[in-house]
Amino acid sequence: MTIRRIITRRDFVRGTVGTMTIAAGAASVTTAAVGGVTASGEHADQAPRRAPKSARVVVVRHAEALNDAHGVNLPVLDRMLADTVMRVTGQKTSKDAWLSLVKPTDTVGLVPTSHLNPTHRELVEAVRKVLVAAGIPAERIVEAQGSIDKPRACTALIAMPALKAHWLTGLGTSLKLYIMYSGRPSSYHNENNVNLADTWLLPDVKGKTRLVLLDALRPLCDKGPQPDPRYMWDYKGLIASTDPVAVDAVGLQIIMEKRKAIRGEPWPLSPPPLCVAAADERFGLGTSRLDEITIEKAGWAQDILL
Amino acid sequence: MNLPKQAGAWSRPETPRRITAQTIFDYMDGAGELYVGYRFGHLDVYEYTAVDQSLGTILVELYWMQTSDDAFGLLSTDWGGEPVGLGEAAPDGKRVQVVPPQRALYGAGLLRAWSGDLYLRILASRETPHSREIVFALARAATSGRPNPPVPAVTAVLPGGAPSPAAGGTVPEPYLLRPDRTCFFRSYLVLNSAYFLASQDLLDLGPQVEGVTTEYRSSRTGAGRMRIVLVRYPSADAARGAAVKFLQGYVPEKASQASAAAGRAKLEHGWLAWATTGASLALVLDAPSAREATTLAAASAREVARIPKTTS
Repeated sequence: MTIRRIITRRDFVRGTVGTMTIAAGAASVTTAAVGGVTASGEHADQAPRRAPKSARVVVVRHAEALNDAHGVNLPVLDRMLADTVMRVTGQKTSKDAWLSLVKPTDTVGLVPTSHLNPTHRELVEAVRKVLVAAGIPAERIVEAQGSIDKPRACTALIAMPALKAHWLTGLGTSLKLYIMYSGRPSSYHNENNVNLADTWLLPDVKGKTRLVLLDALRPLCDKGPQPDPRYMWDYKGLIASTDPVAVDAVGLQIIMEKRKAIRGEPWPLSPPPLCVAAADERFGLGTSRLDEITIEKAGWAQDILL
Repeated sequence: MNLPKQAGAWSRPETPRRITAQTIFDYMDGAGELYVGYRFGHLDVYEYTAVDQSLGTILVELYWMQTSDDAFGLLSTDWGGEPVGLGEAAPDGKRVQVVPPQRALYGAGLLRAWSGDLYLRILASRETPHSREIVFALARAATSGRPNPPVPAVTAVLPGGAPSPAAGGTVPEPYLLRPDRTCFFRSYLVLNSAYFLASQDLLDLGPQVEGVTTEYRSSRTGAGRMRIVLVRYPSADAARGAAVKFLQGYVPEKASQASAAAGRAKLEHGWLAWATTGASLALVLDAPSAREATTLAAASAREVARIPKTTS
């Protein structure tokens, strides 16, 4: 399923690289696919149509999640986290919510974005705290970002990426989170970035992720991964789902709307995030189509960009 | 390097942290390709800290590139921000209008600047009037007395005016070049960050190649915009080879009949025209008409071919 064919700008205009990628990568697009060629090299009218999917993504925001110096308000964060995980799981308490995702016998790996616009440390510690409170032994909660031996030692993973654009892959969020597990992260910084979903399907990783909890407290909408404060803003949100592709699709929508607000006109991501549609349509990891995603919004509504 | 040891409330260590091409990925992982794509030499990092931690830090990154063109290229990836005067001398050579005139830009605590073969980033983790003042002072200290070379030759020759084609002009009316969209590049990854062309390198780009891309926008409502990608290769053979590769990868349905020297094609996103002259290759994309695309492509390739061989 690895994609090797060259994808060109023409594929976007033809509408043959996935709806989400088209929307992210072109200011104005015609979606005619007659005679087009898909990302796998098949003609559009011969490509397999995938079965409809559905996903729920929760977006929880609070106006006081960050102070004026962009510092985290810990009590507010704790409440946001509880609200988020209860909404994702449908459980009535935070403890029940976490225990519906992991068991006390699990070895739970927390996987944050560790480098350049990292996941807020406060969020990682907040998750650790609630897992302990739910009855997961502290020694069974480990940080699992890095080499493949880390997820190998875990029975469950909590993916905790930060929301950021990426100059090489378009988006450097959920789908890029496990890139270090590949042992060859730089190999995904070229045309192979379309295959980032590969890393979620590695034998020591596949099926272990119980929750994707996206740190959208202070996202980066351009020039990532190197921090550029001109393109960072206090969104003050947490975004969560069990579908990593859906999380990236929603995160991508937020980034695109923010870019449009900054420039006053559509400002496409370049390169476009090929990996998001590919993760859906070629790797079957989730859905990238916003019309298949139910977005449950809670809390602060100002400038939600959705 | 004239960076002061003490700058307001902040002070720096005696020596910088030195980052090389071998260690840049440890320092900044996926961001490293940006600098490597521009013939990166090495990076010196100074972190200024204050006794009062609430003031934050000021990170000074000095990117020493192999040439001034490479340092310019890094600044050209983003022309956004408030222009900052660094007290530089008037530029050598002819003033060009194809890029914004400023060599330093500031926004939200980050200053970026081009000074000869130096590209610098100075980032205050907490932006205040005082940190802004210090960031500016550090930038002036780092660039004081340094040369002020012209922009890369391949950038300088971009057609930038709006003369009438009938009078032998190179930019079809009513199109005007957008200086803030001009980006100098050597790597296809950088080109893709400015204008996504393809997931692979279709133009045989690399450290020995000079490229520039920019946008021409029509002043007439609804008339759209054109994109130019202009590349100067080490030889005419390399330029022709790149043209053939581009046609095979981008316009495969016409590649077997098309001439690498010049041609045009109507694509889904407008007219494409290409022209090779000597060691140059010009592509014009998204054009509303064949005439506009071919006029600009032919003229641009000719201009690049006129650049003296000693200029690189």
